[in-house]
Amino acid sequence: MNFRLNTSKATAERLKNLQASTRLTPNILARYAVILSLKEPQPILMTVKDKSGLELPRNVLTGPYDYLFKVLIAQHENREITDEEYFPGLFNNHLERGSILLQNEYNYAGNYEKMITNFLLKVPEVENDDLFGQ
Amino acid sequence: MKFNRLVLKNIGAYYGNGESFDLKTIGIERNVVLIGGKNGSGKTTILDSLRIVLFGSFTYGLKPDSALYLDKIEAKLNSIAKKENHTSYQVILDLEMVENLKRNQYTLNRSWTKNKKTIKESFSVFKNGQQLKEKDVELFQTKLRDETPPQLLDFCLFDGEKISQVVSRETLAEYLRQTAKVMFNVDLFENLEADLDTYLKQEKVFSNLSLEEKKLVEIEQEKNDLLMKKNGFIIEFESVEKEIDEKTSLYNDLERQFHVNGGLEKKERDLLVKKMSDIDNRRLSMMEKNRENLISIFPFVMSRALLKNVLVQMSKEAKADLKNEFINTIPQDTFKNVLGVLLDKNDDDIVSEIYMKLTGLMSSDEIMPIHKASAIQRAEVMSFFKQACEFSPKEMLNDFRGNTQLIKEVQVIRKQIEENDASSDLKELLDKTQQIQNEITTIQFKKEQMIVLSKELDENIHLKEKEYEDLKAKVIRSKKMGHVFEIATKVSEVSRLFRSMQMKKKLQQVELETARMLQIVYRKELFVTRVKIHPETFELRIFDPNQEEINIEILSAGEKQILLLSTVWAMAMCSKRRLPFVFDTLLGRLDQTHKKAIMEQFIPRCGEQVIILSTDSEINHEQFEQISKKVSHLYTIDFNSDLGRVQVSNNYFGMESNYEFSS
Repeated sequence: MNFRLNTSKATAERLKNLQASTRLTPNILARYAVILSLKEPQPILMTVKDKSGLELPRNVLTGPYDYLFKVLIAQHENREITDEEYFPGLFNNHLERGSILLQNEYNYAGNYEKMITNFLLKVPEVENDDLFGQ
Repeated sequence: MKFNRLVLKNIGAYYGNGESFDLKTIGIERNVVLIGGKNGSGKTTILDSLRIVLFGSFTYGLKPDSALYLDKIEAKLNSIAKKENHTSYQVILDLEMVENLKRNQYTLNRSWTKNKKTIKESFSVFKNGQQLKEKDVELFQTKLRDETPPQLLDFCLFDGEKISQVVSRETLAEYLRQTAKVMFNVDLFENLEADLDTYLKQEKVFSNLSLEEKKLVEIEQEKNDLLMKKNGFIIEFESVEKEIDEKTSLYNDLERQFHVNGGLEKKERDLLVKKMSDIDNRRLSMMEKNRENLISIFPFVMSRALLKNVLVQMSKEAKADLKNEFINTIPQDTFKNVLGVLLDKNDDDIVSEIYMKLTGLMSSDEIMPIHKASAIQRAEVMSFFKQACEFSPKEMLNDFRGNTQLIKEVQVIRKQIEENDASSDLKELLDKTQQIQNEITTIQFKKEQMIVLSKELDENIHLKEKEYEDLKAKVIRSKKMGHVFEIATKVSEVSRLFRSMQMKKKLQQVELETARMLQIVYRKELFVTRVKIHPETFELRIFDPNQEEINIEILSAGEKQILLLSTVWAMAMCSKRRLPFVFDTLLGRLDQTHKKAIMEQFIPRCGEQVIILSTDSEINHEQFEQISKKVSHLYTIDFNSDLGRVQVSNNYFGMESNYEFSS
């Protein structure tokens, strides 16, 4: 099992910039990035080859949500994936795509507070049939 | 000495060939010459001219022909005459002196010739119409200075301005000391002592003294040097203390100003800073609460839809698993066997249909497993999903909007504070205050050093004095009377004793006379019965009928002026000198009652000659009536600005129409 992830140089730059302006740590930013990427229905096609950016350990990156990320990514792929596929491969691909999305969100909002406000506004209302299994 | 006539040519505002003032008075009956003039008409010029014609450069304590003196003269010359390049400027004074029981008339003529740049002074004296030779002029001047020293005349020429300065600067004691010294001739003895001292130090005498005597003189010299140094020290110390005082009050004033102008703003500023930090704290605690959510659950709230899909998929997979498990555990054959007990063996189709229907209940879909989650994993995802559903974006949204609002508020406050801080006036004030604080610290340090040095000096003086006394006793014991040294020392001591006794005696007279005059002049409510002048410090104290001391500080400026006048008058009386009094704008400060008392009581007692220079408000119609009987000559001087010169008329502001005067 691989427990380390090396981002591309561009992603590392984006995460550092965002860290400076949001005061969120790169691992938290990475989680947002991956989630943003997962919200895009298009399948991930690219594979990250550049590994000269940040090195992030898996336990820091996913923390207590490792399994959650895995099922979300598998669900997005709509197929069963192995752990090796999940990390770092697919996770890294989502991170690459998501960091661009996150950067765009930030640039659009202009500041951290505005960006979070925008995210909050996009959260759909909880509906009755959402309360799954209750 | 008595003045008879004063002529001014091209002096001050007196332009042209000269205005002549007849100053003759007739005995004690008509002892007043009244010269009226409004401000700026040239009264003080008369006073200055009297001084200058008598003493020349000595008036200012300068040497003859010194550049500084000539500068002062230059300033006094008439400006129109200077423009027109007149060469002659003169002051002529006729005066009468009693010498060897004979009245002699003198005419003093001090004149200046002015070239383009230089001024030359010439001085001639006529005695009873005969011009004195240069050598005699010199002698006359020395005699004049000896008999009537310039300082003495200063006391008789009462310059209202100067008198109020003397009183207000609280230099009364020093003024009295100077006056007393000259008035009572004790300066002669002081000079004698100094002469003896010089004599003892002369080479010839000095070499004749024994070793011990020489040493004694040396020690005395050293002792005197130390005492001189000590005196200098005391003066410096006082000035340092005064400086500290001034600086401290300045500092307090500045600080008060800072609080009046800036202090309020400071309070405001503190309030603003507090408000700002309050808002920041509120904001931070609010954001901290949200931050926890933002770094944990919120990303998954965003992907709630996908998470729901996961759960749907998982549920499907679970059902499929259940079906498979069922099929594996109870294959169709086993099922058939179980049901075969109840049914016929031929009902295979029915059994198979029931089996299919049963398994179909468990899972209908053909499912491709994705997650293959265990029950625990499914529960975990379910629990996250629940959390994500419970998360209320509205609450956080409100917090964030509130936060933005608060940030705006903080920005407004911060701007206010910055503007306040940039205000340069207050900053300057603060800088200045700090600078003065520093200066005070420096001076205080100096003061402390001086105290230490002063103590050392005191010790040294004490030692020297002891040494001196011991040696002196020894020297005097070993020598017989008649020795030059002892004689000189004795004479010196006698002189000193005499001086102090003379001073005491005279001062007692002065005390009596002053008290008498004060009783006459002061209004009833300020009843002074006794005056005391300390013979060494010359501190003046006054007492009321109950022998309670009256603090001089509480007297008004006018009352102080009268006190000084009376004191100096008493001194003049006691010195038995024949001196003219000149009062220049003296009555300005006094009220009607005091003016009346001065007119009716004081002036008649001022001897043969009183010259009063006054404005029309000092001596108005009412007072003029009081004094007119005493007047022997009247003048009004008026500066005519059209002609650029002073015009003199033989009346006093035209008030005397009802009276006749001899001229």
